[in-house]
Amino acid sequence: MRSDVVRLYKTVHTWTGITAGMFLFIAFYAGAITVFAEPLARWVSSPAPIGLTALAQADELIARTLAARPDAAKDFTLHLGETEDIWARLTWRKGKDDKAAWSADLSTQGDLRLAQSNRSSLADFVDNIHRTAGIPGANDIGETVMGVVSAVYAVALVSGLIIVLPSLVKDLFALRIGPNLKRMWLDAHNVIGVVSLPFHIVIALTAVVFCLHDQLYDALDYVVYDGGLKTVMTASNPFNAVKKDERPASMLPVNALLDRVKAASPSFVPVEMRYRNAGSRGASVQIWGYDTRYMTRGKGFAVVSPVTGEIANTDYFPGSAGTWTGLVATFFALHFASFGGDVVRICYFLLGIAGAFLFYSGNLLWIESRRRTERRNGGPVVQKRSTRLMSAATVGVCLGAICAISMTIVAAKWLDGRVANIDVWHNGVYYSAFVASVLWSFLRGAAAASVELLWLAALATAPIPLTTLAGWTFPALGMHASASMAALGVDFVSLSFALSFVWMARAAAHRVAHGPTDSVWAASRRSMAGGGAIAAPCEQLLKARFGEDVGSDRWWRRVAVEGCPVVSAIGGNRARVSFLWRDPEGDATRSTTQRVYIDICSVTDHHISLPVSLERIVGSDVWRWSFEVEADWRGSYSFIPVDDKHLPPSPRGGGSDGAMRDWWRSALVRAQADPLNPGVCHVGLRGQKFSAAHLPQAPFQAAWRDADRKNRIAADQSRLRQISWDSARLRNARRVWIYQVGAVQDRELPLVVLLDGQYWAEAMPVFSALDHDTQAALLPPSVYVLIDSLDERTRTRELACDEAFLEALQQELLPLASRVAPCAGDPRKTVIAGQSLGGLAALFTGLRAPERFGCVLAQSGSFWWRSAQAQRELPQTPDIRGGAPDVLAAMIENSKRATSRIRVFLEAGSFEKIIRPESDRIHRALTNAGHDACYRVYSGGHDPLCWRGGLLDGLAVLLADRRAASAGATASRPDLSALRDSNAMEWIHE
Amino acid sequence: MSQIRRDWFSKTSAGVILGFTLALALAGLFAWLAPGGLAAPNKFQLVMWLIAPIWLTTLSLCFLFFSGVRAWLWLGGANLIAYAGLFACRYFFR
Repeated sequence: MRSDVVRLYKTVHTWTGITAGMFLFIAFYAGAITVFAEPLARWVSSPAPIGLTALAQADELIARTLAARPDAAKDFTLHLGETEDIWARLTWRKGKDDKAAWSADLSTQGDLRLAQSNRSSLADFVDNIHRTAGIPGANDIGETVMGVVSAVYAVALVSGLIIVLPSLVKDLFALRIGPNLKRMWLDAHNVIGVVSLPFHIVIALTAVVFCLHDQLYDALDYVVYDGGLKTVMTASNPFNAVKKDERPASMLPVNALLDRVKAASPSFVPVEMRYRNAGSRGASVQIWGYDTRYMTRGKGFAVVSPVTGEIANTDYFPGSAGTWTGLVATFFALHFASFGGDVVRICYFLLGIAGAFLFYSGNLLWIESRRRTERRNGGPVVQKRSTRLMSAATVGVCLGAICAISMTIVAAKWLDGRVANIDVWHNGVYYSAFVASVLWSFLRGAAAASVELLWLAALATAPIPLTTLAGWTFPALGMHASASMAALGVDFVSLSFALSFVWMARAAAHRVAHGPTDSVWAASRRSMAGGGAIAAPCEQLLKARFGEDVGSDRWWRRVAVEGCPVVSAIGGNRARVSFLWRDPEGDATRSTTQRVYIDICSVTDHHISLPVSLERIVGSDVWRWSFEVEADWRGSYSFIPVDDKHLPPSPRGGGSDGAMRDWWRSALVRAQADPLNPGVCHVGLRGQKFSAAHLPQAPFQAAWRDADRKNRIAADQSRLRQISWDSARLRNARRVWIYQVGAVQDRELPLVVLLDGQYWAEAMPVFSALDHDTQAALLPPSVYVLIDSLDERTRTRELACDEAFLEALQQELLPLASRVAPCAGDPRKTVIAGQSLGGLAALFTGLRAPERFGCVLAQSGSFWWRSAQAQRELPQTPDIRGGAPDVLAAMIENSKRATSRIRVFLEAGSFEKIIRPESDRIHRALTNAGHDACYRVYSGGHDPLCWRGGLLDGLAVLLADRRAASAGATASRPDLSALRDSNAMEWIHE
Repeated sequence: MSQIRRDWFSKTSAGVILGFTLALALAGLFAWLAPGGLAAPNKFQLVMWLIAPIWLTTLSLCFLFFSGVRAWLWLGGANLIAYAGLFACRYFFR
């Protein structure tokens, strides 16, 4: 999968997920409950006032009811079950608008008792919330909205799958339970998402159909059926299976009808019989029931004529459905969990709750990543309004729905049978609790509200089992407490939910109190003024940022969420960078670690006489050190923890420079990358592992982002050739990598020769970054030749203004390369690039052979080098004493007289004490000699982490279209700030 | 080699509009050509069920088109073919 496609789908996934998330949370939470609608109905019900009429008397009941109430004949239902949610044997409604059903039963004395019900239809109410996500108004409005939401949700699913596909096998089951909470949430989100993907796809597609079927039928009727769909529907209607006939007729007894169905399918368990037009020759009965052996739409039914006893229609009868209805029934079953019995139902319940978690965690991840984005821009952070509102809405809506549903359930039980119109009460309780929760969340902010609403959820849910308990303990209350397994299951699940909410509330409260202050999850009273941080010592700052409980597991987790090093802006475009190391052996009483030296490239590395150690915060396992630096600094660093046997030689104790250098060499073996740094570590010039510190304003390295995020895309092997260059002239053999980016048919591609090629091919592979910038049209399609520099001695000889190497390069390697890839001979399209000694060699090459190498890219060039003569006396040591002949300066001076001018991109780090002023000098000299030299100083050291960005920027400058360059050297530079901005948006979505 | 274009509006609208019309036409072709033809009892439900998967798959994947213009052209072409089929069915089977 191409990385740009993945990035695009990441945006799709983020925005579809965010827009649909809160609706889906409610739908899933309520839907999970709806799976157990029947137990819920049994839990809330109280027993029928006069006891259910025995089934044996059903025929008598029907006959006497019809005699007393002829209007019931049109449509009534005989309930066959014996469970507590069945409150009458026979019920009917006087029409569609009849809100409260009528019922008939026979008392023990044999009297017919008619009544109008005010029973709770709690299960239906929760089902409505599930279908409409509680959107008020007529059901079809809510359902239409949810249809659209479900369509968006389907897109979110596919895009989510596309995002995880490239790293599916690698990352899926790597649930990194560890200190980095955000990554753990992301992993959990991914695992749940992928594992339950089939479930979610089924739910999304079926929900779209359930919600939008009216609209879809209308469209089909118009486009395909040409207005004839209604006829087809009527012809297919199972209720029309029995022809209308108003002549009176006597009906067969209930048992006889049930026997007919039993004979058709022994495993079918009938639960109710819906009579239509009873007493006439055209009467029909739908016998509804379950059959767990088949995929059905909840209940299935057969249409039977009660007059003849003949089965008139089995289109919806489990096991006897036709091909078309059978297929469609499968879709229904997959949504309703009406197959496979309780095991499947429990699975669906868990999947539904997990789905709700998926949406909640998705929203939180989005909020969290927005926060990080803002922190990157420099702190202290004032959270964006949209982030604050979004987090308040997420907390209010999700937790509000939980509270409201629990309260409605409890209220339904207490009010059942005591108020006239219970449906109004359901609505009143639900919406007032929901709206109040949302308002509360906006009023108090996400942080405080998350704790308070979780407590409320616990307080609202605990009364569900407590009500049952009260019913048993105080029968005088008149609360019937059902003891059936189904109802007890409701109590048990509610109790465990209430306990979970308590646990979650306590965890959230802890985070609010002790968490990072710039988080949306921090209490507002703790937010610190920007000025306060400047004066605060490192320790105070760490406490303010991560909480007072320094060194506790939770504290370290909060540190890990932010990631190290910790950067705080201190104004004036400067920042304080704090490094933290956790002592695995614990505090000072237990640990053997004496010092934790820090090796920051060009800041505290082997160039300084006294190594710098982190300091332990007394009585804890926290080691910390901080320094102030420009806000656009970038650097590599590693830690070197040592015990008392490996301490460096004391400078006072007569330790010479040599002894110190030996110590550094031995210490590098113990060097380790920062385990709290969220980025991937990289390999330094000496092969040691480094962590990367990028300050908020450091030049954006878009092309290296994939490498940083571990998704390192390997070089396209079809375009990468590794050849062996046996040089007769240099009398050595080495590897050369030739990488072609761009179309093969381009005959004359620009050529870039990269020195120290083994570093850029293996330790810090540059290939995918080149692909990235070429795709982004920042670099033209080119041929890259990476030259191995072999061992240190060969490198020191060949890269230090060596005529032999230049000749071998021109006469041996370039012809060899041009046979492998079609590169241009045009010096204006030929770049020689290198760093350090390689930078020196690059400039030397350009000055010596401008007719072949017209462009030079030299980063942190070793321009202190004077001549081979001088260097032989002091090998590898910068010698800037006067007197030694300056070969490079002389060459630049001589080049004034030559006709050709070269283009040079120079770069040096502000922390490079010698190279920086030397680069200034070389830049001045080049400009004076009329060369086209572009020079920039970055905030950093002698560090490949900085060079890798400058390398691409420099190539972009040097290979920019020459026509544009005619206006002047700088006009051809791509606008680097624009380049950073264009990628900033993508960064946000990660 | 160049990077895929985002073209949010044109790609989304192509997926929503042309994806829907395409799904409608393909469901219609199924209604005509699968056993039983238009009038087969109870078949209309499955026909309706077919729309959502086709539509949403198209919508989800249409961001893979290199640009919004290509999305419109390809999906427009697919629509033309599907509707030609639908009209042919009407012409030949009615």
